Amino acid sequence: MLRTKIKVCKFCVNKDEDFNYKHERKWRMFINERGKIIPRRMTGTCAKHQRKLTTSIKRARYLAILPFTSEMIR
Amino acid sequence: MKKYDTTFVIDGTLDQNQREEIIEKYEKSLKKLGGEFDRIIRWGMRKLAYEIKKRTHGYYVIFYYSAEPSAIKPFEAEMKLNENILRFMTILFDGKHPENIRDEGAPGSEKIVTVDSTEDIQPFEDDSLEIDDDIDMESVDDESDSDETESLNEDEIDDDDEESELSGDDETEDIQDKEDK
Repeated sequence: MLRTKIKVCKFCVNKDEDFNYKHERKWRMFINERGKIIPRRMTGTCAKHQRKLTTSIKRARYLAILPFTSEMIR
Repeated sequence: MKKYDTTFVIDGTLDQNQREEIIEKYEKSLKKLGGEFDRIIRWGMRKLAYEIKKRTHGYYVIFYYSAEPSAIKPFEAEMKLNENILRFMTILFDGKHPENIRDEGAPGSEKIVTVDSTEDIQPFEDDSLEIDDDIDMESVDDESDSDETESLNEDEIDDDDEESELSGDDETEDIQDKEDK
């Protein structure tokens, strides 16, 4: 197997501390096409930022900014 | 006094006057409860990610204000009674960053402040696109069974550790199970 990418946390790299749930497009990067939150072993996000990200996504879901599940499946 | 951030979604089928009536009503009631407004943002009509009360569109409004913590409960109770408000949420405002979202402004005021968030978010998109390209190349070389794996995450599994490969297999099985049902 190829062990190429050492993934790093995008929030740490970009020094991005804005975890506001209103940034729909930002959080779209972290959910898959089913609407599930992508685990951090795949995105490389660090634990601290993954926790914040999760909160943001869940808040956005409540306000119907992000889907709980995708249209296709329903 | 604490700073709060209340977002609520007004039924998208209402016309502008009705919307403004609602916004004004809650603005007043919050002021009555001792709230001091920083800013009101009319985020505008958006498509809801899922239907709420059979509505597909909602008008998003954000209140930024400071108020006593005791004022929040009666304010939310009032909102709850209004059937034209599909959703509302109050959180503490952390005040670190300006909101990079579009403000339609009040009708007639012609204030359309476009502080779009695209610039801020661009690095994210670029990153993910790069990753995608890399993986496409590698995974095509390595394995040919990537027909159903379209998403970024599932592609990434292919060139990751064995551990995550296992979990990836689990996931695809899950998906197949669900589809069978």
